[in-house]
Amino acid sequence: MQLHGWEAVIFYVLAIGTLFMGVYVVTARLAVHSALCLIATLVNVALLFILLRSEFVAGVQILVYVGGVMVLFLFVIMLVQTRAEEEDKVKLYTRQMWPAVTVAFLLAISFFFAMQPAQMAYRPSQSQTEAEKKGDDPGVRSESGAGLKVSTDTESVGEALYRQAALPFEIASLLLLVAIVGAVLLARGSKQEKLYE
Amino acid sequence: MPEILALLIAPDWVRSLTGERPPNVFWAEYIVWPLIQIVIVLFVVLTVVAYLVYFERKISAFIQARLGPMRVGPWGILQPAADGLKLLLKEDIIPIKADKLVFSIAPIISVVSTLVVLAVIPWGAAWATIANVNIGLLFVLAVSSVSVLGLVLAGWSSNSKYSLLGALRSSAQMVSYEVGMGLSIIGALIFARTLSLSGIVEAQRADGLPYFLFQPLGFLIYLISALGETNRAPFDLPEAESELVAGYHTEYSGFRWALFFMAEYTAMLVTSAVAVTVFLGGWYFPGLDWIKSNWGPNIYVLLSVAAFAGKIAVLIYAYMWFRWTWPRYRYDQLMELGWKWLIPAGLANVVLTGVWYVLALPEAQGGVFGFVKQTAGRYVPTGYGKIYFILTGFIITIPLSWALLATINRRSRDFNLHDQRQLQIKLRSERIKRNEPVAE
Amino acid sequence: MQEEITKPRETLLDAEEMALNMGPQHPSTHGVLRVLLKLDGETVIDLDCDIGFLHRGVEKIAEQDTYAMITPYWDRLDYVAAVSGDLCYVEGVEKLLQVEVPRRAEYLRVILTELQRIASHLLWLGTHAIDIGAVTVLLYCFREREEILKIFEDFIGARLTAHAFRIGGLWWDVYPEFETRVRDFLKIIPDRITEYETLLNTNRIWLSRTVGIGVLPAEEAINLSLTGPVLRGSGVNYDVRKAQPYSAYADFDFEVPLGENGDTYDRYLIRMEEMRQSVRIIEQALDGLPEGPVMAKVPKVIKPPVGEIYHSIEAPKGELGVYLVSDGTGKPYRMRIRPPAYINLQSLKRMAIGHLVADVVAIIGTIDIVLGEVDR
Repeated sequence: MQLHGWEAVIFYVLAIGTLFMGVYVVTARLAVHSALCLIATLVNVALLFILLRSEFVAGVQILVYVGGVMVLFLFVIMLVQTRAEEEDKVKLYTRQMWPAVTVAFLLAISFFFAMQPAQMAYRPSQSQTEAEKKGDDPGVRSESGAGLKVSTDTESVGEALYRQAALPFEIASLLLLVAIVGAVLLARGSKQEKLYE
Repeated sequence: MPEILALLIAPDWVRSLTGERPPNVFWAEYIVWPLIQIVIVLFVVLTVVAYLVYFERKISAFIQARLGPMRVGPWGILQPAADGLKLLLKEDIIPIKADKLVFSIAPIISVVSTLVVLAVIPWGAAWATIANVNIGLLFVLAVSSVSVLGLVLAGWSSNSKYSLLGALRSSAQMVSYEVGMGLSIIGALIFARTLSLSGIVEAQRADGLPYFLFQPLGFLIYLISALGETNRAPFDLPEAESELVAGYHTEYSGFRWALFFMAEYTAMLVTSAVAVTVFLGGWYFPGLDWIKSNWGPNIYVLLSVAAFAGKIAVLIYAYMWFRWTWPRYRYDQLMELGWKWLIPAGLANVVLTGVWYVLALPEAQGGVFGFVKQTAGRYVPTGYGKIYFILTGFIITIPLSWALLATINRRSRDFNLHDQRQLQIKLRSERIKRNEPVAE
Repeated sequence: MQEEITKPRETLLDAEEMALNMGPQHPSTHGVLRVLLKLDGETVIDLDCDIGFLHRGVEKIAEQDTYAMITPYWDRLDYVAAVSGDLCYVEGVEKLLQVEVPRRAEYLRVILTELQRIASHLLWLGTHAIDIGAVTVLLYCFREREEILKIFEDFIGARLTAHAFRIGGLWWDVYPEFETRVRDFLKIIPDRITEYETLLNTNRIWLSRTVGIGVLPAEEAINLSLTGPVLRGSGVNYDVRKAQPYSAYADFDFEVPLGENGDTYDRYLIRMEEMRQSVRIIEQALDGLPEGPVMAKVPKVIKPPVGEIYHSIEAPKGELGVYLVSDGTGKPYRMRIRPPAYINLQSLKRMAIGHLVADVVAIIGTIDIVLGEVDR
């Protein structure tokens, strides 16, 4: 899809923000700062999802990733806290930085070349671009209800998940159940077993 | 559904301000009018939150046979202003080895994430909603879960072992009760068929009945989960004064502490608003349509806002009432309540509601009773359908869920306490009435 | 023991034990009590009490004061039920002097002491409830206690440390409206007690927090030499008012409530019932109040004969005792106080080990200590 006008501006702002926050995740000194920057990155990604008209996925990203996974990350980081003196002695940029930068650079170039065939193949037809240009113009509004576009992302995700992908969904939930039972079992010491009785 | 989207057209006078003509009304529609709405809502809500503190003090005082704030202004009405001023002027203390950046950010994250939710709540009909996103409910849940981060960061950045433990306990409690909140709402969503909060109110208006009649169990679970989510009594052990492990905001003073306080009361307001929207019919009350046609659209919107505010006030009064009446649960009892009582009950509610709904579909869609007809793109229960749903909700869902909970918890220590002790109290009072010696 | 408990650990994850200090300044320790807890996660595995912050050396001071000068110190021991302390001491001295107190004075003493029992139990209920979270009960209890304190203030002039009794009787007779005011108070208090019971007795949360918490079997209670509601909660029928009646208690008809399970809930029920029984005693005392003098013939300078006595009464907290050794002079040779709160506090370690941290607060509340008595 082609973004025009405000959407393009917002896209670039969010994309650059994501990249910056991602770099901070890796280069922050304190682990908690790293986690905070990861939270910012994830929120930016959620906003990018909204730009892609997938607001349901954006909401779920924040609910699950930021509100669940990152909270647990922070729990672990805070419970295994290191002392301040040790943190000051941590060297951020060691000699491994140069190989890392080289590999990242090579990866970026390979991404660029890998995306080329896909981008060549995607050529929107002329009428489609016209319709997009008109349809995406946020100024177009109809008051009587005819021709209003309501995003049906939630419905499409639900339909896909529970109709076409019902079996993988059940299998995934079974996996999660196994993980939960395992976690509870690992966390309960023998003392707690006695306490429960 | 189209009528919902027609709700958010900016009024004409805004368009005349920006001089734009339809159909190109970008600035009026997306910048100017929402800004005006945001300013009004923020101003009103922040004042209301400040006065919620005042009302908490007054209500607690009246419950406790005393008067509460009386000195500052008539009946103590200016007390929030005095408190706010004092907190602003206090010295800004940051603990010595605390991480300054995170220490300052934590209350901001808490407050901002709670305030952002105000944008999607339908405060009234027509133009009284800032943004009617069609994932409104998911947005509310998602952004509320971000406020947990503010808590955790506050506890950690205070550089005190006990603040950290208190914060971790608080946040574990909040996360657990969020699950219960989410599950309890799904039942009402089955009837409303949309995640948009304005849409849910419109659905209750179209169905004619608030959804707590269809979903009594869901409403109950939501209320209790909301109490646990906002760390209010009887679930306020992590921040109680008589507890040994200090709460997450022990090291905060001055305006930062006021921000946490504001976040707590705004969270109360927001969870009450969601409860009113999903279960109590939102801004709609019967007779509103007559008002719209007879007294004009402006009075219509203002009355709808007043109705919404009134319903929220009832729920918030209930919150305060609970806090000053009941003792508080111990932490492990609290977590047991959340995980072993509320979540199974929520799941049972979802399953049973789904079963009743599918049974009620028309024969063409695989149902049995045909109590739900498809009209104008929505599924609407018929008259018999409404009675059917109310009956199944009260008479079948609640006992079945209770049976499930009793089975799950039958070995729990706290399960039979009430009955055991009831017997002893009854025997004792019988003996006293008959003037028999109580001593053995 | 103390250093062992307070040694810190490395990170929080691999800490098997954590030392927690419930410091002398704490809203729930009912005074300046320091409790050192050793925790495993949230379970208490060891406990040590550090007392003495309120020690005022009363027993030593008593060796240098005359018998009459010592009496006010007893108000300040258990400052919540001041008159009980007075009663114990003056009866002890009267036993030494072999003085017979007039009947009217004895009845009035019983009335005032039982009023103080109600006041003490009301304070106990308020603080216990607020520790467990029910804040409103505290203010209701204070509202009722206020009435009692007003009655005392009009009689003696002091609300808290009411020095009502003298050796040989009362200093002056009660004022004319005393009887009406006490009767008015007795009219309202049973309904108020019912109000508290309605709020708490069958409340699910209260039950969860108090049933099965701090269980003490009867033999252990006797071995620890506990007395008062803590002992009766475990089912042992020992009340000094019935076992060795003192003052005018033998004339009155009342019951001693007993518990069955020895947990916090039973002790709560016992104290509520004791309040009702106190109401009963006061009514009987007011009905049968004899006329007559309120002060016996006691010499101006009190010099008891050489000897020693031990006298104990049933204070609201337990058995309050005084052991007096007289050497013939105007000052006692030795005065030893048997403080019920100090002895009952020993059971804290026994009761709290194995429970969670949040229960320690409930258990301290149920023992009903007053630091003035613990530290003397």
